[in-house]
Amino acid sequence: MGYRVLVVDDSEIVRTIVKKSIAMSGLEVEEIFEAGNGLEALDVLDSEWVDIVFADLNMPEMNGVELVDRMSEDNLLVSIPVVIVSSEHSQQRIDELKERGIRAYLKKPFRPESFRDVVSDVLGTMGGEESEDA
Amino acid sequence: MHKVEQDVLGEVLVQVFEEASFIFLEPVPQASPWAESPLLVTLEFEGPAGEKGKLLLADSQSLASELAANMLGTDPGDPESLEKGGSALKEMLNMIGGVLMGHVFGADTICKLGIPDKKVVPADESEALFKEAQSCVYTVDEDGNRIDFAAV
Repeated sequence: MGYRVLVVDDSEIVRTIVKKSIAMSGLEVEEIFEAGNGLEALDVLDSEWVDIVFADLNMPEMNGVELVDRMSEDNLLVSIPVVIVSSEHSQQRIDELKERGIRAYLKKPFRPESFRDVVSDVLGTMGGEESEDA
Repeated sequence: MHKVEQDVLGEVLVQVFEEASFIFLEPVPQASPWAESPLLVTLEFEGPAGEKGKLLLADSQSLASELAANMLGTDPGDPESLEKGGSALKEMLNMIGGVLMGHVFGADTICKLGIPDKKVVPADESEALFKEAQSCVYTVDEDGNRIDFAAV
């Protein structure tokens, strides 16, 4: 059985890059779901179980912070690890998000090996090096 | 409006293009005329003390397709690359904005970035926008393709 992954970003090209990075990471995937913002992500999570969420911060309708907050208020969703993939580089922002419960933060632009390390660290699956952002 | 130094603009532009798309840019003192109507992407930002500004990034539609191809790892003539050129340029400005905020306001501050917007504009309109900007850098890639970047 592979992992069920949700990729949340308003940019179709970023969703495609993240999906390709997942494939390159060696993660065994059963299904990848996509959402263009936090609201769409919650719709997916309402009907599908996923093992990990990759989410952007700046999105229309509902941003990544609101999505993390909504997930942390839900007894079922709170256990799903969230990895923020964002162009924001502020350490203060990263620390705030960790306090809200995110598992890792990946700064864009990222290299495939950084992505692999984050996935490995969060899911503990592939024996990669620990991510400095996790 | 917050002053963004020209050398910082150039440094960040070159760095992010190289890291995200393997396109190597070189600043030039003056740009040659646009061969086609450029694609213009804009991104509003706000600094930690409420300093507001906007970033402008312009390149040709053909280079945007090449950018998409490099980011996606596909062929430049691939239909996916041709279709996603604008999206690639928007994401490039988003990444540039994120890195630039750290350079301008410091890595420990929280800045707000908007949602990038794109449109094709007449060449003379683009020229005027960049000339009016408080800071502006003109660059070319290895094939001589023009990329303009400015803060207003």
